[in-house]
Amino acid sequence: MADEPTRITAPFLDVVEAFINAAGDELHGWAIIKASGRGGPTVYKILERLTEMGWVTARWDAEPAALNKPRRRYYKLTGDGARRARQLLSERRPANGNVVRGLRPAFGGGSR
Amino acid sequence: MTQFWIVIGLPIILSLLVNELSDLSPWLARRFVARAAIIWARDDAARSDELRAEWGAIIEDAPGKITKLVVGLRFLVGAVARNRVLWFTGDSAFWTVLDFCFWLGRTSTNRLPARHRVRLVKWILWTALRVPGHGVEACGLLLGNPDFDALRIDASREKIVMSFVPRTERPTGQLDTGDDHCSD
Repeated sequence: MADEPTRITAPFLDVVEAFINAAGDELHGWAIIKASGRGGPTVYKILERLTEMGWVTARWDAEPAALNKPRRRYYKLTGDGARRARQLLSERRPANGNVVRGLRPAFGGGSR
Repeated sequence: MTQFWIVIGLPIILSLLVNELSDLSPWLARRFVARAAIIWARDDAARSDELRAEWGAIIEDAPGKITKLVVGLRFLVGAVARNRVLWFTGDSAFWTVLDFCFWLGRTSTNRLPARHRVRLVKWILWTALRVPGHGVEACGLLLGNPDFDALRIDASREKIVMSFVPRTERPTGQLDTGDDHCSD
């Protein structure tokens, strides 16, 4: 069961929106940073919160993208997390509601 | 001869330096995120290793050498800001930078006379109180600062009255408790 966020900030909504825009695809760190338009530390603070709340799950890439490169970590909304994220965005950013569902990420997501 | 060096030599040296720096940037960025991961995770070595690998991948994904450096630096500043000021949990870039400056000021000015440190903190507070919505937290920044025995503050959006009591150690071990007062 996913928890409710205690603090809802603009960066929090941006990160959640990045996941919703990914339409179920997994996103790695750089993709989330680019899609949300927020700095790395800000994004990771929010990712830690989302993971603790049970909205997001993470997994390591099985193989690095290239030889001698570090492996990426992919994040994905859980079923319950996705439902709550959509609900939150529709409450807080109703003007974007229709646009959000229609957009696809320009880059990033791995798929399982 | 001097003109020759300015017109010909300086651009060559500068371009070599810029070239060298840009080649160095990815390596430096990786060093930054490795340090940032340690600070971020504090005593949790396993979490630190995870973050270092993960943020290392982000550095690889970031396009351009200077961008990598900027991204790495932001992680470092963010990690320092997060753990040097423990009560700070905001997501604002302004506060990340301000906390870092504050920490830097505190750690790098230990040899300055107390009145200069007081002036520095006053300036930070003065600036912070002008950013809407952050005034209360700005007061919190100063609490617990070992440079001051006490801080008396009466702040509102319209008027700020501060009384600092700086801590200056004397040979006798007693403290100088001279008030430094300013109003805005």
